[in-house]
Amino acid sequence: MVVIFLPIIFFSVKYRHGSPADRSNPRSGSLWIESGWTIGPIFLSLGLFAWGALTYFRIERRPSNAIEVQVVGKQWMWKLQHAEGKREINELHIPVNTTMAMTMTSQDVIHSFFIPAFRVKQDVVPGKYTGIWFKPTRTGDYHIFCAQYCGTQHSRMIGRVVVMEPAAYERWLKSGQSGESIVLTGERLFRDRGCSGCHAQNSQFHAPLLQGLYRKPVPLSDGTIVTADDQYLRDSILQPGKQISAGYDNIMPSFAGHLSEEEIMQLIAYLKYIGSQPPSSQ
Amino acid sequence: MPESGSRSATELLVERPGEFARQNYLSVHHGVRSWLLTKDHKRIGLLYLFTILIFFLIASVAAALMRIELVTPQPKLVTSETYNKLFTIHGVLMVWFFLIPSIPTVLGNFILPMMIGARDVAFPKLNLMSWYIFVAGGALALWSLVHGGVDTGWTFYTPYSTTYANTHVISMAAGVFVAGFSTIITGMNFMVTTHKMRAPGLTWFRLPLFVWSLYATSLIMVLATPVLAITLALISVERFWGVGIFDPKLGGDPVLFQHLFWFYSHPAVYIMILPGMGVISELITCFSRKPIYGYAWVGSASMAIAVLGFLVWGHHMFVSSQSVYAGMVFSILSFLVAVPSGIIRA
Repeated sequence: MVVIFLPIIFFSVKYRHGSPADRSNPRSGSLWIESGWTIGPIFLSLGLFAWGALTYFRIERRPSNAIEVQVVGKQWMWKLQHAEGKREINELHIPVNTTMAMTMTSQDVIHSFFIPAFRVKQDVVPGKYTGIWFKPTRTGDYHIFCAQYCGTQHSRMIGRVVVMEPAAYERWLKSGQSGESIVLTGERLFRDRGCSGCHAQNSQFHAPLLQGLYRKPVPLSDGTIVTADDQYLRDSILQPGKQISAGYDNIMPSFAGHLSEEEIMQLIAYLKYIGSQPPSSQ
Repeated sequence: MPESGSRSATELLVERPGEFARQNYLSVHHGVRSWLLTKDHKRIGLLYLFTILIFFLIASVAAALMRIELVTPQPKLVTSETYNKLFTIHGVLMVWFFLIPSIPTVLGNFILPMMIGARDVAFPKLNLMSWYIFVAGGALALWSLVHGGVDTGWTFYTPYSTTYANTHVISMAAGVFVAGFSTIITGMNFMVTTHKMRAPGLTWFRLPLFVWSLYATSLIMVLATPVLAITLALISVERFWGVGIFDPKLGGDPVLFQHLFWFYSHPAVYIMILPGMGVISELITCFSRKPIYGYAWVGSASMAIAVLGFLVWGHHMFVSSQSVYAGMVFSILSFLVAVPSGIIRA
């Protein structure tokens, strides 16, 4: 208001009818000024970009010591499972001052996992894994919102993060039904769904062994090399013909439709576990 | 008839008495038929004005209903489903049937030929056809609204729009698809007009800045709108025939849709703002009675925005799961597009 009205009053007085104020037009261009306010902002924006880019890369790099939580979004709730096996819906209990990492996917449409208080937001996309990490420094309750419009009850797709003292967290983790750990569930699935029938040393089928595989380079039959990360393992379970390991035949059936998103994540957790073991452990 | 109180009008009356008796574009013909079959750029501009005002009214009612609903936290006025349909129709109408056509089709049609000394746009019949196509597209969108509406949001994000939404997505997409052709034709018409019909001696760097901004806008309209048409067609193909393009359950990639959609929709932001900047450049220089500061810079900045605007779509997708490297490339390009925007505003 002041910025607008003071100049209005000032100029009304200065250029009032009959005043001797200078009314000639100023020059209508100057190469120096134009270049100045073009090049200046270019460097300014490059500086801001560098600052932002550094932050982005820091956000992108997930700390290796983080505790993992599996998150599956669906219309219209968040399903979460801790490594110890404890499951939650629309609630996430975590210990304070601990780095937590979410591995997330959706079983239907795109959702977005958003905790405004932690300044983190990441879309949760069907068919692929995305992740975020954070380290809460204060106990308390914080909102979780779905930040990508996902249908009728999108506005109710809300939850809370409960940040607890480590002792309280341990008590919470042991209370109620905690079930088996994700790795154990994955091992059971690996047996029950028939994976171990082929992916084993004494199998009659020629299938790659999965011990020591995780995060290692895998040569493919088309000559390329991929890293055996979560996405590769997931694709190999659902679309086995997509990337075939060199030296193997395309004989694995697809498990699309036979495994839920949670089961795939549990299987991958198991593959990660045996993936860190030496290859000849059978 | 002007009163004699106006001094300049009196002078004109004395010097050239025939001037006042001449017909103008409003008085030369009368009747509905003369309007619906007109090839006059000014009349077509007014046709657009009335049409977009109707869409603006409908979209405003939707917005008002949403704001009233939000007075209380609990759903009192409309259900969640209706609320979602309200913001979808609000978005679709405001973006494609009001904002994008607003300044180009109304002010552009009306004054572009006058500003460059032409009698009309290059293709007056196409110009009228473009209005009919626009009305047909709008009618399709309203048809889908009357039949129950769409709840995908104006962005039609997949796989929600292709697989999960139970509403009239295809007819709404068809409405936007059809209206897109009107945009393309208008853009092409303006570009040809600016190239071929300038008065003798009116070189490019003597053009009024509004013409520059319209030219830059037309470039975007002609180049970006086809991508929107393709994207909407792909949505309909996946939704209708189940061809896997965007839904991962069918082997598609949902983020691909966002790339295609924002490749159009980011430049579309400049379709909305560039003509506005052109209007401001004209108005302020006119009423402050000064030539624009740095004319060539402002004109070139409009073109720079139009070109750079095609390269920044990924800044709508930072959390979409695109790679951080792609994100940083889009980030630096977005910073750079701020520089010509700053020149125009300075």
